[in-house]
Amino acid sequence: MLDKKKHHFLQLVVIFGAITLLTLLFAWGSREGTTSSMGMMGQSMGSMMQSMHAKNVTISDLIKQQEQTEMSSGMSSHHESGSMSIKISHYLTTGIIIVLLPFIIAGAVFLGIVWWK
Amino acid sequence: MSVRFDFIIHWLWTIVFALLTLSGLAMAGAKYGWVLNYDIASADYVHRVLAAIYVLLTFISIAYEVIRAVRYEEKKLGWFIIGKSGYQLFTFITTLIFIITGAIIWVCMDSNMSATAFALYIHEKLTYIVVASVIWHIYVKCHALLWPKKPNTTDKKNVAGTK
Repeated sequence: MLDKKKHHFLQLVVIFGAITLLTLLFAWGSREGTTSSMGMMGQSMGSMMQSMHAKNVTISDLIKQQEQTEMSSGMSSHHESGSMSIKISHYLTTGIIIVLLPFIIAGAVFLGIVWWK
Repeated sequence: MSVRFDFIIHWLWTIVFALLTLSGLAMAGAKYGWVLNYDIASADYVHRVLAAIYVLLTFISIAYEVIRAVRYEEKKLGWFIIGKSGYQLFTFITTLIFIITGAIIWVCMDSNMSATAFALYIHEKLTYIVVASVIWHIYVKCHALLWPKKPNTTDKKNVAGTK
């Protein structure tokens, strides 16, 4: 029979399974007839970008800076028109990530050395 | 009953990771866009703000472990997200990869499409591996869902047997 210790896990599985099933039924029901060809759209962002930009990529391509394209500069001017709160959160989040990243890497290297012993 | 630091960090980190997964999957492609009703702009915003909190929590956890290492504290923290073995080590390594690839995507988005594509590919595929591993993690640790913890009856019997 079922392991009693795993009873709570199985309860969770049933609950999440039901939620997933209901969501899928809802999604399929509301999008009937709209499913177009799944060529490029069926791919995920990572796979799509990998096939477009990183298929024959070399190490030097990963390091060197590219010239800003017309599209991306257009995008940045588009983002400049955003509200003040978005700008503040952008600077705040970017700041947190850029400032803390070297400390995280340094801490990870330190722990790697200490734990390895 | 006192609530431990590692317990709080564990569940804060879990909530942030769950929301990052949902917002990230919504952006991953047309296949999963329904997760947030194809509202990619909101998903992007939520993902970036939560990423900063995720980095902050990871930094706090690493700093805590570094302090413990300096003080030669050997006691294992059962609830902590990072550690030197098992699933804690797996989480530690995958978190570092998530943060580094995420930062590359963040910084290089407008300047180096090759690096962005490479980092995005790893970031996304790693998500699937980690989400699968989380299910296994919940299965293995499902005894923790009994909270507050009840005294273990088998342990009591063993102790009584040895006396």
